Amino acid sequence: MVPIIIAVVIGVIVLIAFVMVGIYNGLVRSRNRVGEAWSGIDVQLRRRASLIPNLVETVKGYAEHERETFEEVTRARSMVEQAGSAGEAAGANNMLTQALRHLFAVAENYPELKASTNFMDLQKELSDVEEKIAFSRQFYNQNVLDYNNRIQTVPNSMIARNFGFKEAEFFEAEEEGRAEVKVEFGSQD
Amino acid sequence: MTQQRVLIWDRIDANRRSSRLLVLAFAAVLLPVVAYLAMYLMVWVAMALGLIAVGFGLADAVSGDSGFAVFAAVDAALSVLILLAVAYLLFRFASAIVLRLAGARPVTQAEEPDLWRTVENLCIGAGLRQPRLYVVESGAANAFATGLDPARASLVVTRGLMDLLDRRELEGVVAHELAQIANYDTRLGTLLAVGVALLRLPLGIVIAIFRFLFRIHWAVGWGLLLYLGLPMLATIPFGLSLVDDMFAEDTLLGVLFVFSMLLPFYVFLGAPAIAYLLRTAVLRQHEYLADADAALLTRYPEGLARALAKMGGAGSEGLRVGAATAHLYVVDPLPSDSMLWDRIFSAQPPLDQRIAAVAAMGGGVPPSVIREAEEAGARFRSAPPPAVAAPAGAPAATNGRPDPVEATPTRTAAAATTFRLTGASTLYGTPDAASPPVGQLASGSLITVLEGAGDFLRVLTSDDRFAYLRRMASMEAVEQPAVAESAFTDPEVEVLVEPDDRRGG
Repeated sequence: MVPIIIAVVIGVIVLIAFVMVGIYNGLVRSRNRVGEAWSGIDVQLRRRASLIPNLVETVKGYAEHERETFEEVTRARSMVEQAGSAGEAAGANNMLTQALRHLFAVAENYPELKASTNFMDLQKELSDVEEKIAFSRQFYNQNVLDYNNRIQTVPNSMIARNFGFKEAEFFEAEEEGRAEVKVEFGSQD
Repeated sequence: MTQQRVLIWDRIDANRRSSRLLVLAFAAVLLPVVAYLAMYLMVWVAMALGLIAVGFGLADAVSGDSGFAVFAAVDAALSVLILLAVAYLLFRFASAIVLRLAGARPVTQAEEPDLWRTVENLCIGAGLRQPRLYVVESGAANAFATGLDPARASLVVTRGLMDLLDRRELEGVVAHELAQIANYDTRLGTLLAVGVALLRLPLGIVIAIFRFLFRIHWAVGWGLLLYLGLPMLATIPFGLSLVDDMFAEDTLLGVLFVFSMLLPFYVFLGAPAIAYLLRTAVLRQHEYLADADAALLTRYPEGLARALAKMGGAGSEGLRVGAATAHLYVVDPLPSDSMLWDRIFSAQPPLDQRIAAVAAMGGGVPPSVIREAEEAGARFRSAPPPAVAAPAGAPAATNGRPDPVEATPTRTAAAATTFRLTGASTLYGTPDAASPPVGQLASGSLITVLEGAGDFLRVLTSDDRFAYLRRMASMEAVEQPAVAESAFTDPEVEVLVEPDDRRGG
């Protein structure tokens, strides 16, 4: 009788160990996916920042005494480049968006600037990067949601706590440019 | 969203499982066909070599007991070999065959920058590797994706699709295709396409031969049909009369005799029918699911809904598409006058149900928008731009239309509906002041009013967004043709702003 009990106990322990290893590996995979998705945003943020000096130079050529606006843009750009966490980067990126909006509002007053092909190209490229940022943000936030849900629900949460899985930060945009969509199915067989 | 993800993983697993089962099922259906062909091959080879002795020896062998066993064994071995080779080729060349059948041409970023950017951006959103891009130079508006896994997928759009749709609509269609790539619908669909094509081949060859003969002259066609068909029909009673004797003599021989009599029917009619049934069984809800994924990815279901309506209105005439690959396309590409046989087994759900399902996601799409999109599609069908047109979005596409009466009023209407805001204003996603704002327009921004919606105006902003603006927002009309050009990146948008009275007439 005793050997059977010992065997059952050992069996249960081994089973629990297997489950725990499985959960742990799942959490690691999920966390790596968040990291991977973040690098997607990072690439686009850097691309956007790298367009700024060129843009500022172009605008300066036509509107040199808008110093304040240029400084604002340059400051926001360096903040994006120095940002450490997702939240910081999101904040800096939103500031850059604001600053660029001012810059483009200023540009409205200079018809020659607006007509210059260089400026138009830059504008087009910026809007492309902004769209890419929006899409990579969507993908990143989806992964963060998945990961956070995992580490907060039982039984994963116990393992997450012990092995130092921290909640990931969402990348929040200041304005929701792309509305949420509710997907539902009626009966259409 | 989390549940959605789980759903997707489930779907990927299900699709992988179905793919494996499908290959087995096709192999099973194909086996008798291959055995039949292998038998023929053996006799033909013997005859072609002119080895009459061998031919006689074969006949002797068949009549003998052990000889029969040898014959059957060789046939079986040959069949399995052919089947394995076919299965390998199927896996290896499936997407190449599908692309070849569609007449698709690979394109680079420099050739199609707009399409490329749309695909690139959506791939970022879906976390997918970018598929290879192909274009079919056809005025029909359609698209499909193929490939056995996401890493080796190809996305194909027609020239007509790029001409017909605006950017948001194209995004919807591309997102639908990317969703199918991501959840392995394309693997299933590609295998199905090649499997159906293979099983339909004998029937297709016979039909093609007779079509050709009938085109020469109806008498030639009927002549050969009667010449070949009548003796065949005549042998059936004779064969049936033999069956009894055969069974009386040897049950096995009788079974084999009936089997060999039925085999041609199976090869030409049974196997393709089974292939079609398999396809209908396998692909039931897949289009709906991919539509839902596309709505989630673009966050703009209206784009896909409008795109589907336009594509439905435009039809797919002039597209080179076989019945075997029809299920891969976004909307059913088979013309309504195609063979009854191919239409019965269509794997596509009814388009209006799909549009309704997509339109119900998100804020809902007014029926008038769908109707207008359908009409835009129908107009596109009656007056498509030249087959190899300028890149999508160029104003030349509108000017190139043969009907000047159609084109001119739309342009003036477009210019008259462009306004400059004289005060800052909030943009809404739906015509409802309680809904969350989707953005802010500064004073001086240019907008294009598309239509009224209660207290709101449906507008297109200069950065290409569709949104709603309060009717009381202060604005002034702008009468600049140049503005119309910059605000409209696509000729189809102009069709949307066509005044209502034109629709009645």
